[in-house]
Amino acid sequence: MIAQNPRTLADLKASAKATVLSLQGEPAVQQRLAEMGLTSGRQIRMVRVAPLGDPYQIEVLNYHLSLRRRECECVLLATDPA
Amino acid sequence: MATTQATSESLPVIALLGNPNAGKTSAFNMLTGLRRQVANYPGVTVEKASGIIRHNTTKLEVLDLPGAYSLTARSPDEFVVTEILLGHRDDTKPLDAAVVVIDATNLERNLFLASQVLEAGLPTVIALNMTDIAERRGIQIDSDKLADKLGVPVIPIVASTGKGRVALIEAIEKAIGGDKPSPICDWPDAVNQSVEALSAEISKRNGAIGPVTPYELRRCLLDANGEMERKLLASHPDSRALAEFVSEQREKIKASGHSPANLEAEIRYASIADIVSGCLKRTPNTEPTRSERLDNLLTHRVLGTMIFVAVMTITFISVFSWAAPLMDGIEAMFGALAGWVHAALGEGLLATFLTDGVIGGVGSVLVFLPQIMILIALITLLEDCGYLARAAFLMDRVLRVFGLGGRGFVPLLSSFACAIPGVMATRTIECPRERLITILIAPLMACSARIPVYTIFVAAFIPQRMVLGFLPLQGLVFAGMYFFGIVAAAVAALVFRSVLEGRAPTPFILELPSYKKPSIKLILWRSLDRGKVFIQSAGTIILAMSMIIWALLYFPRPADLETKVRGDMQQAGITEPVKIENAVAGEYLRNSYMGRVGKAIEPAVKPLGWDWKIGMATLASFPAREVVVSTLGIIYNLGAGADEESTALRQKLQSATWPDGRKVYNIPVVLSIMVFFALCCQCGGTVAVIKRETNSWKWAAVAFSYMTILAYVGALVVYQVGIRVS
Repeated sequence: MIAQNPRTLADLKASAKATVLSLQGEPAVQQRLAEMGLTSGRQIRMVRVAPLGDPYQIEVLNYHLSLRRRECECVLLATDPA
Repeated sequence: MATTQATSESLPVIALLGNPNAGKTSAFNMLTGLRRQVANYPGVTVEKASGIIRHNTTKLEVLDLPGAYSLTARSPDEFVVTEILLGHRDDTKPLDAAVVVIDATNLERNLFLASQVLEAGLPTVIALNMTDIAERRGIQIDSDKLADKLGVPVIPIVASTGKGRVALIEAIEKAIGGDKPSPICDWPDAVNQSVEALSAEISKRNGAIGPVTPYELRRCLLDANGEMERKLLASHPDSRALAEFVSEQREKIKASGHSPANLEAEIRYASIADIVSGCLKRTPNTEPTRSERLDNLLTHRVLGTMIFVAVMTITFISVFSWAAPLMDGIEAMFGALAGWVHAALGEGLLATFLTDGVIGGVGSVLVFLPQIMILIALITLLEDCGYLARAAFLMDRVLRVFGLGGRGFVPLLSSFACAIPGVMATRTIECPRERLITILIAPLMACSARIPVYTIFVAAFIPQRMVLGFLPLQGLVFAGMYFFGIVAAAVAALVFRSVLEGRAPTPFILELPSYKKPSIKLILWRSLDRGKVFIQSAGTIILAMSMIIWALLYFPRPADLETKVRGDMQQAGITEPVKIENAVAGEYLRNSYMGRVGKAIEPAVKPLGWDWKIGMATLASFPAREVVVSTLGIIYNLGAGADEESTALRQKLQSATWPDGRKVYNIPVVLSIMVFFALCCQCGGTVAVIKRETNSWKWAAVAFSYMTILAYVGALVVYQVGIRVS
């Protein structure tokens, strides 16, 4: 199934995996996210969402990172099969 | 504050860099043997920490640079690292070598910073830290191969135990004066062309800028709105033309198919993947790691929240109650010392100055140490084992409403014990704006020094009855004062959030490091270090303020005043020496400069429902709010020994009258006093610590002024509404 809108990291369900397609938003934020390892083609995994619905915990480059929804929305995901 | 000693002038200087959580502080301690000097770099809130490495005949000066994920700089604070690396800061000697501490359990991400440092043109050594934990997790790193590929020495260490110290020092020694490393990644032609074009453009216009390295030019092009761009533009004669040129070049890079914002990371991580592929082996684990299983529990909706509440309660209770006996001990010790000096020197100006001014002043500095050291120890424990990041993860959503972040929770909670360690604890907050707001509102939390103030007035004026049959009214008022402080802080945070909106928002990026066993050494060291920093930075200010207030309360002392009081007492038939002494002390105080100021400002405090005695006692307690109780004691001829449990003081307050016979204190007046003390920044230590932590008098002044104004207005409203209602 192909999503209507570009899927972002904020739409990823807990424990689902995905691949980063590209980044969007403010250049400064993009740069920070890329520096933390969120570059295109990178495999990432959504670990969990905090009890109050935000922020998110993700796994990238074998380490765990927490981002707020706002930053997650800057990470566009490739539509993987499965 | 000059930290460089004459002896270290000629020593080679190296700098320690690394990601947060890479164990840089432990590595610094391992190298220098725990001794370091701390100051602030002027103009920024970054601490300048340095120490000396001694090994056989080797002696090196080492700078501990702030932890960073990248050399990209968007604030003056972040720029400090780059400026020092490039030798551009006047207050820091050019470096002879750089040491990058990297976390072996998180090799790829850590190599990002390392790859940037390799391009700064300094001999570089990589310290591969936490190799023990990596091994246990089935991560094998061939450090020789890694060194080969990076072109710089890679030394495996375990900083927390000291393993690899000698090898690291020897590698640093060998690197100094040696070759500069070569970059590990190639830039696309478009970038290289733009760097050349920019270089030509800058030298053509020939500003007062001097030679600019390709590294700096690339930083300028890639970091939109970065500090490097700001610096180059500022030092160029035609900054507008240069700014245009820079954005043209950025467009060119974009046109070649690269996004300037992501380009650097794409290229570096590609090179890193290449380098790592041959020297890193992970045992693939299909089941969740121990750290992930712990996270399942600790960030669980119900259990995780319960554990969070328990951990925070224990932290708070520890700071609050473990510190109490130590603080009592310090106070008793200084009391005994004062008594001894008094006995040795007898009455007189010198004895009073030494006992009340000097010994009392030093005591009022040291009394904060137990709370500071206990809180910092607990925070370091929570941080080092990895829990603090989870606490921030859990609380972020709640605190964000007020423009704060998850990391603000612990400093704010600890401010209920004392704002001084609370403000010092804001160092764990990465976003400068959030940190500043947290610092500014922390002193509104009802700290332990407010307890005696609330106690005396609640006990004396709030009736002892039950509300709804089971809730004691006195307790409710007490709890209400705590709640009031929180609400005031929340409102203040919202106001600051909108006022400071213009400052660059930092994206919330919080690493959740794997859980590990905390290092006792690090905990003890950090606690001592912060204690030392407090005494150095706040000690002198608190001491000076105590002495000034002492002098204002002591002088002038005309001899005939005492004769007159003694005569009056004799006429009235009062012979008890204690009563006479207290009456004399009271008369001197009322006649002191502070007393006169108190009387002079009576028109200003009358709208609050206060008489000049309350006004004066409030003024005298600006260095430390709890002083108000003993000052009231002296004013009402009870001596300085009166405390919040004193029934005599309660009775005096209850029966105090205006000259026309009306009672001074009623419920609106009492509430107005308590509201004032809840909101006012009556703490010299807090002001001094805010100055130290923001490295600016401006923010200390902002905190002091907004709280004082808020206190006055709050007390005014409460009294004026109160008398109309009652």
